[in-house]
Amino acid sequence: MELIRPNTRIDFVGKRNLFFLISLICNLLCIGSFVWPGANWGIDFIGGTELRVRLRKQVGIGEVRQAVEAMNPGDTQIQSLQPTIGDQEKETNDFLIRVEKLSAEVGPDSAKGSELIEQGLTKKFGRDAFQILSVNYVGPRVGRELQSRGLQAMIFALVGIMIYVGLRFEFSYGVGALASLIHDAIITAGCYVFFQREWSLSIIAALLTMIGYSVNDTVVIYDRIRENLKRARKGTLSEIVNISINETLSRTLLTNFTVMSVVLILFILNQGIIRDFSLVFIVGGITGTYSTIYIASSIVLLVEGFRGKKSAAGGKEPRP
Amino acid sequence: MPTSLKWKAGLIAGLVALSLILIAPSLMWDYPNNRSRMPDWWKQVKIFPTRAVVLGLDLQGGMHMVVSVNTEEAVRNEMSSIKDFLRSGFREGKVKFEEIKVVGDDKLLISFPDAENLQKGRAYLNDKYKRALMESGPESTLQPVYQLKPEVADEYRANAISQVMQTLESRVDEFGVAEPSIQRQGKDRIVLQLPGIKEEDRARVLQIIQRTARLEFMLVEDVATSKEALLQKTGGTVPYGKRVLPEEDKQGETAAWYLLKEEPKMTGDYLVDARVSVGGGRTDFAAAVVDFRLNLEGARRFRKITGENIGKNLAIVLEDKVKSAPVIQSQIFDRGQITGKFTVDEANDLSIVLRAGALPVGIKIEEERTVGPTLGKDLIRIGVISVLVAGTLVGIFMVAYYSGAGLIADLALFLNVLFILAALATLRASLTLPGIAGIVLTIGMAVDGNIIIFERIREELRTGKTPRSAIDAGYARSLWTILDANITTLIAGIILFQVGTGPIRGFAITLTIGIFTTVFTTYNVTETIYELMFVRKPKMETMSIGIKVGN
Repeated sequence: MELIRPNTRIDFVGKRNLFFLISLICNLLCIGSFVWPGANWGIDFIGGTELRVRLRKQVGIGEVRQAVEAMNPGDTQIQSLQPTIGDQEKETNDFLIRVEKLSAEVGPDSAKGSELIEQGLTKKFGRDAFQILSVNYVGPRVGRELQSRGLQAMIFALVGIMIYVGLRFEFSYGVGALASLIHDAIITAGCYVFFQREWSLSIIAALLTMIGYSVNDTVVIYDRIRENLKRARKGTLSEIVNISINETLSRTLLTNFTVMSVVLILFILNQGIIRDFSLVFIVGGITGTYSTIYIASSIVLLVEGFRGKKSAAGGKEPRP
Repeated sequence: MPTSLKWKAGLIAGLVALSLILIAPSLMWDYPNNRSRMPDWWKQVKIFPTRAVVLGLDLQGGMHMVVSVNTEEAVRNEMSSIKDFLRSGFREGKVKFEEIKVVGDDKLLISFPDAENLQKGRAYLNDKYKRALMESGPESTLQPVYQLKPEVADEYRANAISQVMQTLESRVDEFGVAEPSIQRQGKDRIVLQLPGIKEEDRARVLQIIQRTARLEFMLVEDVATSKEALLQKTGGTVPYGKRVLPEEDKQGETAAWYLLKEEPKMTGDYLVDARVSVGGGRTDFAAAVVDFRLNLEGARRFRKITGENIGKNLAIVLEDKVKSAPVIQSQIFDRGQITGKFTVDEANDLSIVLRAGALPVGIKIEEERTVGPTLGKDLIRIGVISVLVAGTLVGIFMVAYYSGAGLIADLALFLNVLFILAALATLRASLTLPGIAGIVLTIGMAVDGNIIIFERIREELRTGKTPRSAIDAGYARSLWTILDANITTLIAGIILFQVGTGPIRGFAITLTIGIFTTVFTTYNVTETIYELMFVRKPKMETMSIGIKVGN
């Protein structure tokens, strides 16, 4: 089976200015979404209590809300969860109860939120009608720390990858890789914010991994560009870049296809953090593929253009 | 067969055998009962592993808690006891002083009436408290300020933390948590990991961990129905050396207020044992009580206090609340009983915390992540399904696209997952839900290496090369591409490991391990398989890689 015919020559770099413009607009929109509608920070970052509760009888979300709000624990959100795949008990229904900005009775930083919710549910449904499946409590102090740790991690990862690519290739390639990384990170984060999905630590983890992974494709193309330059093929740098993208195109698409399919499986089968996690990869995979093909190498051309060089062989030669 | 190839093939075969041995206990593990199902002969081979891969708290169920220790309270407590010692020391040494006051957390302000006593006081302080205190400048000429030396304060803080850790450890031990982990984190925090806590026990565990369990015995001076009534008799304020504490009734409402004498001090520190006994009589009304026994020093003090105060009331104070205040009928030696309106569970928990000892300072839960075993089981099932479905799908795709070569890639993929699990078992790193997601992701990303190689081989074949030289060129030219591509992911994995906690760390571990096993399996293993094929058929004319090859 062959997905991309050999000798395919799609002109990817010719219209690079158009794609720069599209990417720029998308990036600005995504940055804008942090202003409006603004990120939906989860309890990992702002602190709060989150309970996953399983009720053993059919109860509407309204009743659960009543039961919880009667205790006035704070800003409450309630979400109904689907039963998990292959679950034996058919009569169960799960709810996710999240309380942020704990009320004065609870105190701003106490683990008492879960106790209050439990009391509320007991009063309304009885002690044996429900089971608390999981509890997450994050105090405000820890929340702030997690926020800064997440940010640190992002910066370290970006810088680390840029340094690596910079060492292995020439400066302009490092810039190209970084630009496409930031592009992917902004678009993925922006989509996440735009659709008001909740931010958690695992989202940061997913973003980091996505960044680390999406640069793979870029590196593969850069390797090919360097190789083609070495072989002293005829043509301008931009022609060689375009040939290299085409030659690696089927690999780029195939790899992203396999990753996308496993991520989709994760998305369909799982709930909660793993589902959010895979969502990041789905969005990141799409923008990553795009930026690898249209942005990363075009940036190299742009930088080289500024430096006024016709062609530039990449840095150190790897072992053959 | 060339020697180097023999070595390579042997190494791979050895690793596979080793990995199978390493993960066999996990595959055979009886998870519901948490015991091994390996046959006896296996257990007799001493070097064989017998334990399963450690499951993270999110999969096996359990509580993860971060508590902060109020270390400043330790400093404050220490300052106030220094103050008390100083007070009596000055009296004995005939040093006159007007006032000794704790200022801030770690300073003492001492007021002397005149220069002579200031001199004497200074000399006394320099003599006895040189190690702990330093003069940090006078408030005024007759009011020197002494500060606790920072290194001494740090010592007190460190002591408080290690005491809290010990206490918490014995409390969770007494409660019956198997394999708890209690570790210090940063300056003033403790991380508790308690696997296997059932959903219904969570609230009790939280209680047991948080309560200070300070038990005190104090002589009763006066009792009234309200605090105001009590204070009226003493002139509006609580006199020095006295305390005013409430007693609660069954509903938790305040029933009475007591004026209590702090001295002579008698606390739960002298306890050697505490046991629950359920009072006789009608069982539905039977209140549980806690019997305790004191050590020698405690018994000596208790005998003295009770002997000298027969006919008076002795209040049993738990966590600043009067539990009961019985009349001392006769001298008591080393045994006592705490009555209250306890249920059996409450009495049980009280006996646990009394046996384990009081917390020297307050603690606060900063973070809690609890998953009940029920949800954990669900997550494991979904995780296993995800791995299987992902593996099958990617496997089918590779064969469909690359035919025979795809099969080789699938074998590499299978070995990849095997090696990851074996590495987890060896490192005793816990497998978390994000960790399973990491394995699924690795399955998707791992075939990348083979795709790079196979695409390369296809390109070489199209230029008219024989399978043999196409494969050689394909592997040679792909090595650095594969390494480059994986190192960038490795960077992200390592950073995640550094920054992440708990489940995220589990993800970082499987991701990082997965990168190493991926490079090994997609490159070295598949290359060795091709080389072995060439040994059998040195002049291979065609090869199965999903495109038409040769004539």
